[in-house]
Amino acid sequence: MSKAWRRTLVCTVGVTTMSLAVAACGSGSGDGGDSSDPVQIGLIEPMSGPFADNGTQADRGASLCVDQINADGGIKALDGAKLELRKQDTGAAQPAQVANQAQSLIDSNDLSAMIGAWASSYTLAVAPVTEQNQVPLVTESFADDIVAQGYTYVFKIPAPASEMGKQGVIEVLNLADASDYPIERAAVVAENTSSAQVSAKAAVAQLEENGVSVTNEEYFAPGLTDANSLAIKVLSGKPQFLFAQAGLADMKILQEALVRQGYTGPILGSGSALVNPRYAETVGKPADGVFTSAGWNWDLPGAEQFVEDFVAKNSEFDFPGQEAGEDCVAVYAIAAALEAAGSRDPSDVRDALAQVDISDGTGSMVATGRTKFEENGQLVDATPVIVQWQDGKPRTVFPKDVATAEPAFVK
Amino acid sequence: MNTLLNVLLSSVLLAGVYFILSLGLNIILGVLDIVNFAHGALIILGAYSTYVLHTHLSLDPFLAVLADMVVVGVIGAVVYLGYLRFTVNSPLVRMFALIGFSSVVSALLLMAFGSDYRTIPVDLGTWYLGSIPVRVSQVVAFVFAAALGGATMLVLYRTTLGKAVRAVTDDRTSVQLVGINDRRLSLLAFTVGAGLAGAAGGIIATYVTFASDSGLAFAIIAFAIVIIGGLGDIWGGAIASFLVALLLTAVTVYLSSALVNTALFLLVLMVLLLRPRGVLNRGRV
Repeated sequence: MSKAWRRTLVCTVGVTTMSLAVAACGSGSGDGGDSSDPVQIGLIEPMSGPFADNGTQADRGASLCVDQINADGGIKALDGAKLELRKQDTGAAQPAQVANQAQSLIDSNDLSAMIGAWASSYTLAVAPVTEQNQVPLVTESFADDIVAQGYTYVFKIPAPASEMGKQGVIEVLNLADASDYPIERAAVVAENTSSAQVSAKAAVAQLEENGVSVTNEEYFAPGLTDANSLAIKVLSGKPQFLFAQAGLADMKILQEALVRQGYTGPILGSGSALVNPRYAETVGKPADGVFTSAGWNWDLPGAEQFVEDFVAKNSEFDFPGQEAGEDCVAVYAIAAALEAAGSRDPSDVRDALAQVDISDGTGSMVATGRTKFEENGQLVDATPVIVQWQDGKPRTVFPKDVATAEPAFVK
Repeated sequence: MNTLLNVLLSSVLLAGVYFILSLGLNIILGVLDIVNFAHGALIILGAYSTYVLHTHLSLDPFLAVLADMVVVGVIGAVVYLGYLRFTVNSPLVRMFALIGFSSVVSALLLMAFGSDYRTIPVDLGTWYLGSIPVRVSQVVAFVFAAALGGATMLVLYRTTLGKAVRAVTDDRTSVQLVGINDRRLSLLAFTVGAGLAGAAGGIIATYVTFASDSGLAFAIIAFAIVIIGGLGDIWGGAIASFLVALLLTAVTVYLSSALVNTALFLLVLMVLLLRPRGVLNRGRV
C-alpha cells in the first residue's frame, strides 16, 4: 500500500469515526440497561432537529413529573419502585426510521410503557410497533387516525386534530361577528404534516359550512427557505381571516412575510409553533392576538403546582409548553396504572390504563379535569383548548368554564 | 398585474442570494473538480458565525458577512490541507470524507448551540414600489451578494491569478507544464469557495431562521443552480440563479408550494437532457 493511500485511508477512517462519535454525543439515545429496580418508561420525542422545541418540552414535562412521583415515594404497589425515563431522540428522522428507533428502544430496555412521539406522522409509525410488542403508548399527538386503527395499546391525551380546526374556527367566527368584523373570505396556509393537514381541512369544512369562501389552501413542506412567495399566494384572494399552522422557524418568517405583504387580520392556528413558549419572543409583535387550538395550556385548573415547579426547574421559561403538560399527565396516568396493576408487565399496565380515572391532582390537569380513556384510547370528552396570545402569554379563552381571559379581537 | 410585478421583484432579490449561494460551489467544482458535499455545512457555519459575531460581539450582521468569509475560508483551507488534498485520485473516498465533515460540523453545532432555531433580527423597514412591499434588509442582502459576486468575477476574468485559476479549470496538465503551481491554486480555490459559502450563510442568516441541520435545503438549491448554469460556468450560474428564483416563486404563487421541489428537479432534468453544458452551453459535461 502506498504512503499516500495509507494517509487517505487513515484520514477517511478518522473523519468517519469522529463524525459517528460526535453524532452519538449530540443526540440522546436509549442505552441498554438492566431491568432490575426502576420501572422503565420509554420517551421517544424529537429532541433535536426542526421539532426540538416541542420534543424538549415533552422531555422537560415528563422528567419533572417522574421526579415528583419518585420524590413522593415512587410506585407504592411495587414496593416504592422508582420511575425511570429511557429516552430516544428521533431527531429529524423519517417516520420509517422512527419506527426502527421505537423497536430499538423496546429491544434494548425493559419498558412498562412508552410516551411519544409528538409529530402525528411519527406516532402513526410508532403505534404499530408498540402494538406488536404489546407495550402501551401514551401520546400527545393530535391526528384522528391514531385512535382509528383499532389499536388496543394506544392512549391519546389531546382532542382529535379535526376538532382542533373546527372548534377554533367556530370560536373566532363568533368573536368576529360580535366584534362587527364580517368574514367573507378566508385562506389556509399550513405545513404538510399529518395533523396540520387534518386540522386545516377541518377548518376549511367549518368555514364553508359557515358560508365563508376559502380563497386559497396552501400546504408547504417544513423548512421554508423563502416565505415571501407563499405570502403573495395566500393573500392573492384578499382574505379577511387566515388559518395558519407551522413550526416555530417557519411561522416566524411566514408571519413576517404576511405583515410585509399587508395582512393585519386575525390568525388562527392549531398547536405546533403557536403553543411554543418561545413563540411570542421569536415572532415579536405579530404574535399578539393570534388564536390557536391546543391540547393543553399552562393556565388550566389544577396545573398551578406543576407550573410553579416547572418554572423553578426551567428558569429560561415563563410557563410550560403544551407538550410539557400533556406528557406530565401521561406520566401520572402510567403511574396510576402501575399502582392499580401492581405489576410492571406492559400488558398488565395496558389493562390498568384502560381503567384509569384521575379527577384530582396534577394527573387531572386537562381541560375536562378528568383523565380517563375511551375504548379506542382517546381521552374521554377531550376538547380543544382555544388559546389567544395576549401580552406575550397564551391565555385560555375557551372552554368558557376554564377560561382565564376574555378573547380580544384584533382587526 | 401587481402580483406579477411582486413575483418578479421577489425573484430578482432572491436571485442575488441564490447566486452567492452557488458561487463557492461552482468555483470548487470548476477548479478542483470536487463535488463539494460539505457545501451545506459551510453555509451553515457562515450563518452561525454571523450569529456569534452579532449576538456576542455586537457586530453589524452585514459587516459580519465579511468576517464569515475569513472564518469559513480558513476552515476550508484546513479541511483541504488536512485531508482533501490526499484524495485527488479517489472521488469515492473524497465524497465520504466531505459527508463525514458535514456530520462533524452538524453535531458540533448541535452541541455548541443546541437545537433551537436561531434568528438574527435585522429590521431595516419596508420600502414600497407603488403598492409592492420590498424588505430593505433583503435589498441590502442583494447588494452585498451582487458586490461579492461581482468582485469574484472581476478577479476571475480580469487578473492574472484569475486567468491561472480558469486555466486549471480548462486543462490542468498544460498548466502544470508551463510551470504554474496548480496545488497552490487548488488550495486557493477551495479556500475562496468555502469563504463564499460562509458569506452566503451569513447573508441568509439575516432573513431566515436556521439550526445546525438547515444547510441541506440551501445546498440543494445551490447544486441545482450549478447544474442549470453549467458546471464551472460562473455567468451561467448567475442566469441560472434568476431562473431558479423565478421558477420557485412563480410555481408557489401560480400553482402550489407543494410542487416547488418537483418543478426544480424537472428543470434540472430538462437542462441535463437538452442542454447538458448549461444555459450558456459553456459548462463542463
